Amino acid sequence: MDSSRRMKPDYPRIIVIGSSHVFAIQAAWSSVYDHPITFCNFWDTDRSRDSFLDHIYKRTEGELRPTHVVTHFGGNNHNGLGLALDHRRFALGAAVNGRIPRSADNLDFIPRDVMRQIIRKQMRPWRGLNRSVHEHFVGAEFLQLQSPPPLERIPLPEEFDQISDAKREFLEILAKTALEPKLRLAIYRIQSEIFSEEARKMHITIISPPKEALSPKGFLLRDFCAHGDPTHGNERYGRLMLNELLRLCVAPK
Amino acid sequence: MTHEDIRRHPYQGLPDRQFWSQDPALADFTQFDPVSFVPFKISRSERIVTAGSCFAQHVGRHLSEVGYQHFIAEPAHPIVPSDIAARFNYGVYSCRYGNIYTARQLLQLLHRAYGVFVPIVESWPRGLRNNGRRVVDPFRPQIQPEGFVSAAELDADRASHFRSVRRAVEEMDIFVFTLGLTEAWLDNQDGAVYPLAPGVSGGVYLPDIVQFRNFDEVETTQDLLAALRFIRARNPRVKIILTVSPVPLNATYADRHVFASTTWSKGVLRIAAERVQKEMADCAYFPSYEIITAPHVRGRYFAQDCREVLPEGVQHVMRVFLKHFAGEERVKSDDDFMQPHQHADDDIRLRIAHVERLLDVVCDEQSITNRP
Repeated sequence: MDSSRRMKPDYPRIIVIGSSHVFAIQAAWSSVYDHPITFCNFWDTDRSRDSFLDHIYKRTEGELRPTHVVTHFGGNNHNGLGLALDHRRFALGAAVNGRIPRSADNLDFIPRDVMRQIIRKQMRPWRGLNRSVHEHFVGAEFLQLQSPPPLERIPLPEEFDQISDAKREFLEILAKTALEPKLRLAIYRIQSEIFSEEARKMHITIISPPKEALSPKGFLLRDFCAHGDPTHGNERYGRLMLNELLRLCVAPK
Repeated sequence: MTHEDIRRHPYQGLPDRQFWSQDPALADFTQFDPVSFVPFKISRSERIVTAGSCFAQHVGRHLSEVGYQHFIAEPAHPIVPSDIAARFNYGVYSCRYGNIYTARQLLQLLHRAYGVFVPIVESWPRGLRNNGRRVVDPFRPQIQPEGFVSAAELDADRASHFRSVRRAVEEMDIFVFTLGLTEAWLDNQDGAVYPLAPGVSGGVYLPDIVQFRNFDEVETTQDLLAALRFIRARNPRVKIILTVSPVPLNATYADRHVFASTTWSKGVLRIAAERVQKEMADCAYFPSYEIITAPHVRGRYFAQDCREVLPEGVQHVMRVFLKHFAGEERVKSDDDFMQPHQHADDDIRLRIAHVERLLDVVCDEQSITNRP
């Protein structure tokens, strides 16, 4: 599960712990960087969440104890909630203009506070992991990666060469059920807002998606999206995040 | 005419129910049943809409629990988990209108939902969060725990709410309305009636802008008749059940003891309900108030605060309700509720949980205190 290199004493000892969104940054690091970073990706293991963390804690005792802990748990709520699936389409409450989409006056209405509580509830298990990591690595600097925002236009499966059946099926579902782009972005922003609030409470530095990877409206640009997978960033996206991560880790305090 | 045919006085031969001393509830309070006649029955397929003061919440919940169709015309979207939906008052009543305490408030809701009346003040500031843009709905001040993120969001929610209210009015088969209060606050600008005074739960109390009003029996009767006729004009087949909440006032603005205001208020509501029931076809009065407050039950149905109605009381009310309106003689009774469970501790836990659940009734009138 780990891919670590030998660390020199003067390097900050960085550990990145997270789930699917860690792949982008991990890919960027593998291809370019020489800086030793330990990656612990939940999706690389068949361990349960608790034993996953226990394993990490055992591997990072003594001189391997990290100086910087970077986490990225969850962050996909907007992708699920941004689909109609078998549910009814809906409009979401918004401070400006009242609702998103603005013209959808015949749809079910979900007030913004209700959506916030739905996302908070869905994030509860991930918050627990984050808290555990925070409590274990006392004295380390903590950083947290934000997920990339959604694409404005969901690509069709036929736009990609050689994608797995799972990705094809996922793209087909997205094509049929994805809600309006502005609505998906609004849900993403609520999710980011909650992540930021939690991070602030725990004195964790947030690393937001890089501006270069975003459209003027705030959507992820297609060039920064994983191949056949509109919910995750690619290596190029990961490189921008990694640059920022290293900048923050070596920046003088 | 024989000597036997001649009654010694006009009461001779009347039914036992008309005589206090003949009431079996004197010996067993659980037998108390003051209903003599109901003009119609309810079936399980009929859509029942509930509205009114906080006691009305029990009616909808119990009807659902025993298999009747509490018609939720404004449900939470399926992605909203039930605990969050409950926190935001989805499913408490048929629509998310919150407590409707006065007949004027009911009439106003209908007029607003159909565009007959548009109040001048449509939102109250809630506080400084979100750059001071957060607002509450003056007409449902506690429908969201922290209000709405902006006046624009409240507008959007209100449009959706009114659509649901119209749907409820036009599609319901039975309308159960529980009259709760006579005291209210009116906006001097246009007469809009607020369920809570500005400042209690959002808004700012400016004595020049609002006035206290205690509706009397004439006004309450007129408002109730107007509201129900408004509904009938859009849904001629709807059958109506009126009740009066047994819950005493939490506070009174009238300069007298709150219990004196309570008896006056309940008297007004009882008279208005009786007059309207006589005036309208397919309209019944159901004596919730009487069942809970009758001397026969010796105050057993009130909690320690002498105000909240205990689950046993609600059970009694609903047992009598279903007996007469649904012909169900044996639904969950007080006896069922009192029977010992497997273990004393379990029993207590279950009872506490049950009480907490049943008493978890949104009663925004409780926000009123005389503390700053």
